[in-house]
Amino acid sequence: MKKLEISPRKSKRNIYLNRLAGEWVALSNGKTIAHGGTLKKLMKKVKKFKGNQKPSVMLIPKKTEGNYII
Amino acid sequence: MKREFSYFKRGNQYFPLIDVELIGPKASLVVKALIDSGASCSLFRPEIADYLGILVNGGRRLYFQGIKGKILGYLHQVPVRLNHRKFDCYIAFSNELDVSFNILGRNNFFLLFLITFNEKYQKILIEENR
Repeated sequence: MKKLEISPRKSKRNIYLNRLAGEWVALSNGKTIAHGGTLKKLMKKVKKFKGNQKPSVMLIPKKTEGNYII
Repeated sequence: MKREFSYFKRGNQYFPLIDVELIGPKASLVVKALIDSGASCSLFRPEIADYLGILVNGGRRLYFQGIKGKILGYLHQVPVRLNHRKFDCYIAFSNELDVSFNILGRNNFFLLFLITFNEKYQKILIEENR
């Protein structure tokens, strides 16, 4: 039986996002363009961003959030 | 129209998150949401409703049963855009949501799209269900 290969991509971005645990972030083309403690603060920063696409937002899970069974 | 999304990586875990645009009375917002085939309904963070101009407790009051227990949410019909398709999606907002992710559940999102989870390559494919 062929062994399942798992090669997690480790990038600086992943480490950076981990440092933003508990914060709202805006992402565009895989890059973090802004972050803030609340969604309202984040969106004030995002309004200054001029890009072709609307950035997508999410709340980065806190470090205490572990394995999910949702 | 098909659209592919890469899983979101957190530590050693990968999550099938996609971008959906929610359109509210005051604003619109592109949000990352977790595709959850185990969830009967979509459940989003209350901050998003506030930003869109949706009054959270103005929706239909519903309790959602999870593994840990019940949480109270309010169901709304929200215009959503995905893959250039605009449709009304049933989304509940809850002040009691413990997880950071927004959850896209089956009703009614899964009716409109064919969803392929490619765990091996950590990608998710969304295409219209005609």
